[in-house]
Amino acid sequence: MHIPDGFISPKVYVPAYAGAFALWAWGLRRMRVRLREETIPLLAVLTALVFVLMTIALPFPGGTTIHATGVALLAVLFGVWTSFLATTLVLLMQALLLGAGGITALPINALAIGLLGATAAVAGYRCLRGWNETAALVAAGWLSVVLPAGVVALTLGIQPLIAHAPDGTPRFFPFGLEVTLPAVVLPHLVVGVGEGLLTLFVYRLVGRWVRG
Amino acid sequence: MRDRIFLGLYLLWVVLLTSIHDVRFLGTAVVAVLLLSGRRAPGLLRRALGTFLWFNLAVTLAYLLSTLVRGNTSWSFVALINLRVAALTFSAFWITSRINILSALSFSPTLVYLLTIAYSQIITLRRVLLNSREALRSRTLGPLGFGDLYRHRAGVGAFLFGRGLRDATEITQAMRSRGFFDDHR
Repeated sequence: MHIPDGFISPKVYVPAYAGAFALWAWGLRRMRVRLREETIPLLAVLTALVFVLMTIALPFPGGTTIHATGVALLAVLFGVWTSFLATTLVLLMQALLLGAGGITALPINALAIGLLGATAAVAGYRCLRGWNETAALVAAGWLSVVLPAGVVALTLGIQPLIAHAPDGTPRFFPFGLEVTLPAVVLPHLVVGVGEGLLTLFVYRLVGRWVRG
Repeated sequence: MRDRIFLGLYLLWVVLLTSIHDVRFLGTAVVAVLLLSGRRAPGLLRRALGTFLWFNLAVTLAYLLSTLVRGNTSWSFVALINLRVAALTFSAFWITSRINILSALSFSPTLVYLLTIAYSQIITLRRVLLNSREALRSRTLGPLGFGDLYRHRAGVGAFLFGRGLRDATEITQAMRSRGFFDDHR
C-alpha cells in the first residue's frame, strides 16, 4: 500500500510534511506526558516490532501471501499516537537508514497508515467491543488497512488533476481516481481480513498481559 | 556537521528532482549520481532497480496500454516518470552509503536514541522471526493449512511482542541506572 518515491507532486508532499511535523510533535508530547522515562525505549521497541511484523507473510487464497502492518494491534494496545509515531519511525528508517527511498511519500504514508489507520482501528474497536470483542478486533484490523488504502488511492488519483503539463500530460502518477480507487481499495478489502485475523489472534495471546 | 549538511543538501536535491520536469535534467541527474558512486555504481544500480523496477514497470505498462488504445501516448512522460524515480532512488542509496545518518540526525538526540535502539531491536527480533520460520519448516513434513499457518504467525507475533516489551523494560532500567534520564531532564 506504500506510495513509492517519485509519484507525488511537491504540491502534495510539502504541505503533508508541514501537517505531519505538527502531528509528530503533538503525538510525542502526549506520549511523554503519559509515559515519561519509558517513552523512548518503549517507542523504539514498538517501532522495531512494527518493522518486523511488516515482514511476516500471511498466507492468502490462491497461494499468495500478504504482509501485516501491526498498526491496529499497536493502536488498540497502546493508543493512536504511539502507533502513529512507531509507524513513522519505521518509514523513516526504511527511507534513510536502509536507503529504500520513500522520503517524498513519507508524510502521506505516515498520515494514512500510521494516523488514519490507527484512529480507524481504535474507533472501530471501541464501537464494536461492547457487542462482540472478536468482531471488534477483526474490524479494527480491517479498518486499519482499508481506510488508509482509500487515502493512498485518493492521493495518487488526484495527481493528474493537480500536476500536469499545459497540454494535460501528467507529471507524476498518471491515473485518475476512476483507476486508483478500485485498483488500490478493492484488493485491500480482502487483505484487511488477513490483518483483522492477525490482530485478533495476537491480541488474544498478549492483550491481557500487555494491559496488566 | 558534514553529515548534517549533506542530509540538508540531499533533501533540497529531492525537492529539485520533483520540481523540475525536464527529461534532460533528470537523465543528467541519474548519470551524475552513478558517476559519483564510482566503483559502487553496479551494486547501487542493482539494489535500486530491485526497489523500484516492478512498481515502475507496472505503472508504465498500464499507462502504455491505456494510452496506446486512445492514441495519446506521451513518450516524454514515460521517460520523465522513470528517470525521476531512478534519480530519487539512486540518490537515496548514494546518500545513505556516503553519510552517517545517525550523525546527520544528531540535532535531535531523542530521535537518534530512538533509531539506535529500534535498529538494534530489529536485528534481534528479525533473528527470532527467522529462527521460528526455520523451526516450523524443520518440524513439518507437508504443507500446513491456513489455520495452522495463521496460528503460527500469531504465536510468533505474540512472542515478538513479549520479547520486545521485556527488552523495553530492560533498556529503560539500563538507561536509568546509567543516569540517562537525569542528564536529559
